[in-house]
Amino acid sequence: MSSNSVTLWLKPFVARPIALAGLGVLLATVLAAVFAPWLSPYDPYAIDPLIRLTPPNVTHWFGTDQFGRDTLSRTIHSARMALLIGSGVVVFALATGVPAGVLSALFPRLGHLLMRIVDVLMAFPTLLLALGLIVILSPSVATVILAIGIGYMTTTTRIVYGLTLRLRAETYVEASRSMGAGAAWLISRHILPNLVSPLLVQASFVFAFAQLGAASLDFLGLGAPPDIPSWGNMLAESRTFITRAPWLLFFPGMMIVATAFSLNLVGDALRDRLDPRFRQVFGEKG
Amino acid sequence: MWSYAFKRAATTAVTLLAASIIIFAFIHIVPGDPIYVLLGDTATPDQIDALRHQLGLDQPIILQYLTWAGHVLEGDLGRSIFFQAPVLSVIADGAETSTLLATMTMIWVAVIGVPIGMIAAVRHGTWLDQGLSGGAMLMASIPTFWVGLYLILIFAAWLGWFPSSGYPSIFEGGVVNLRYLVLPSLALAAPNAALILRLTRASMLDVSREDYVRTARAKGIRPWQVVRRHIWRNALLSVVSAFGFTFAALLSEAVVTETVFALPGIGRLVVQSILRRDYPVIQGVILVIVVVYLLINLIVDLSYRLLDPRVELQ
Amino acid sequence: MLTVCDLTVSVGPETAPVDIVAGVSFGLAKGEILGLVGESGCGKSMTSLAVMGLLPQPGPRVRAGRVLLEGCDVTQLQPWQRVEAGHGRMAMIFQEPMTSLNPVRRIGDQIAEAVRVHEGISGAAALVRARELLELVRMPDPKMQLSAYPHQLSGGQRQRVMIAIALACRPQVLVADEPTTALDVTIQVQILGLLRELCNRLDMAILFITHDMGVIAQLADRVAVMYAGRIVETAAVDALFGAPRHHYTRGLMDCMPSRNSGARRLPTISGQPPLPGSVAAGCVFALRCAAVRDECRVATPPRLEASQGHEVLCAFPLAGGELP
Repeated sequence: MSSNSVTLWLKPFVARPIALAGLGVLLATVLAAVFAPWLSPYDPYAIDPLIRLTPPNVTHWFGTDQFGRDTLSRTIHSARMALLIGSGVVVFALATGVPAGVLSALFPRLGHLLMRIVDVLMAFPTLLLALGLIVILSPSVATVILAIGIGYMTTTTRIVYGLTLRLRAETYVEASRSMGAGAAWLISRHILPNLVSPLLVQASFVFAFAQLGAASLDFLGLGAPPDIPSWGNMLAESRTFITRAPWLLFFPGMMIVATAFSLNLVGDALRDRLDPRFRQVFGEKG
Repeated sequence: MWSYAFKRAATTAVTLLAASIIIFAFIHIVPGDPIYVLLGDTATPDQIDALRHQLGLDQPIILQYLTWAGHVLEGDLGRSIFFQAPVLSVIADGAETSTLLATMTMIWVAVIGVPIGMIAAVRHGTWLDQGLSGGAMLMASIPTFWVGLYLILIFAAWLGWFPSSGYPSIFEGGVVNLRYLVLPSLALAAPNAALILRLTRASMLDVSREDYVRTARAKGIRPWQVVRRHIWRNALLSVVSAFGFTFAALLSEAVVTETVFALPGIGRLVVQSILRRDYPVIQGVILVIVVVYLLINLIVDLSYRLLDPRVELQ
Repeated sequence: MLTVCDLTVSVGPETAPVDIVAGVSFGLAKGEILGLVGESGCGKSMTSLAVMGLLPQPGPRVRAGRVLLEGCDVTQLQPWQRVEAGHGRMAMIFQEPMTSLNPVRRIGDQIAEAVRVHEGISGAAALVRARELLELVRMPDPKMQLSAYPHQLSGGQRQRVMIAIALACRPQVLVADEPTTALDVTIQVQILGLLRELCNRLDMAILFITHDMGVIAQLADRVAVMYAGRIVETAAVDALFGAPRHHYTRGLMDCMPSRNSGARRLPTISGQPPLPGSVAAGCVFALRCAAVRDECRVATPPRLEASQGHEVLCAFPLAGGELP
């Protein structure tokens, strides 16, 4: 990849400062997750009943919760869970959706069967599907990833299926086939490279919605175990105290919004990069 | 048209059949002996024998499925462990709340999402458009339960304008009880209105780029008339189908909102049943919701075809 | 009737605009057919949209120059604004008649809509007028076609409908953007014949855009050749075909096979047209010109008048001998 393509990828971000801000927020979240123990002023698990439910002040910037735990430290550590679940869902959705979609498009008989299976899975509303899976396998981080991931596996499969069908119909692919190119060659040389951009866009949005989904599950008490700090868990715990300690409601929720919003902004900017921008700017062909 | 409807209905039926097999298998996949899964740990030997016989649990699995399916078609979805009552009646109790909640939500979504989306489209490229689109994306990034909690904090706890939880039926207390659903429906509406806004905007922009809109402009018609006569109807077609799908999705999205506001709806029923290990109810609710979801999707799809005269004429 | 003066259409940010049409000037007299010819991407469609006031918003804009209809400046006005100002007698027809008509509305309604705007009548009276317009464009069975939908008509018939819509404003100028490119050759002849007839009957001027030199030879009175957003040569049709002065025009003529050419290899113009904004100085055709000199790459070519009514944008135009 030449440096030219790097600047091409950055252009939509530079053109829209808010997307750039989103990218910055994401970077900050990743850094917070990676360097959490060093960035947190206190141990997120440390209980101190003497300072329970104190509002934000100089010593505890985000205040403390009902056990006296520092909210800022817990918020920073929760970024790990957010990142873990988000990437887990994206990886799962792509790892299952891409092969399923590509193979379905290239081998029609297999495709017919797989698409029917996807249809059946999509007959279950996503949250319900997730809940069902969580009942069968008891709640844990892996279960949450699987439960949310299956919902996005179906959409990814459909998107990849559609894209591959369109790519297959492109004349240059037909030309390759007429020269005797096998399926593996077609996939690696023609199909997959053209899937990278749209999948990158898809991944951003999936990551964003995975955050919201995981937060909802955590809030219901059906997601990640409550002893591990996550923004959803923090909100669930704060529920009984919202009138007394509104800061407990604010900070974790704000982080969920910031992360999801940033991912949406980034995804939008990437999608604009994919659009035939020439046409947008120049109008009809002269 | 009718052959298409028939084909779609047939596909839906097949999908429903396959889904029902999965739902049936639910009880057997859950860890534990199906008998105890269905009756709970406190079952008596008599109850166990009766159930074993009723469900034919010693028979091959296919016959078990058929027995179960037969019961379902008669309206027997099993018996709730917690309530000690037929599952169907337990679900029916929650239906009123959930349906009213979904309806109110859709009204907010339509009233807020569509007009603002249209304005953003007509003012395409201006600060107003960018602000509205950005705002919509922000709303779509906010979890409904957070909106709900804040609504409770501001409008129930601090201002006292609306109640914060529960829902007494309108059949008992009158239509005024709908105020219990105002805050929850607003919470649910927020992200959905944002999505409908963006969809309306995108749909209108797509249509406005069509050649026939350019012809209309060339005729010298004023911009708002162009929107009204050429853009609006064609753009709304795809928005209308999104409405239907949104309504269907609301059925499961409402789970969290009903929990936050302690509404006696089907969503909260599911969550509580999960925590109480009331498996017959979980299975029953999933089945009901899937059936409703598939039916709504089918109706929306067929209505879309009906409304689009292009398909009619061919 | 129509005067276009130094028209410049640009895209991109205000601080660094990219010109896709630069300094285009031409005039159109009453009842005259001016052919605007050039290859794909040369800016002719953009010019036609700018003249009509139909540039897509947001996007390209008229950065400089003026469009005068009967002496009135309509440059920055969109069609509805022109109608309001009383200068709305310019109409346009497009290349793709199928997509240019609203698929879910009847033909009669679509014509009547234009009638309502320009003649102020509505309802049944507008439909009567619509039928008259269909008769004007020689549509077979006009009464029945009023209630037809676009997809029920053939390509040629749809284009007749487009022309009927255009005629609703009794246009002084008709802008036709490649109206026959998407039609069969046999239908093409009919439509061209219709346009010529209407031009004569109604004293209507036509700005006819195309890339097809053969059509120009048949239909146009005068021709303007466009290249990379600029008009490189303007002349009467016979003068252009007989003795082209610009090297690009000469190249185009050479590319056309003729009956006397025999079985020899068709000459081509090597290279590609430049991207908008990529030629910073000098003549835009310099990179591909067979007779290029050093001056051409540096200095903007002057607009010379080779003979009466024959202009060429070149520092060293051809002498004007006969073509083989």
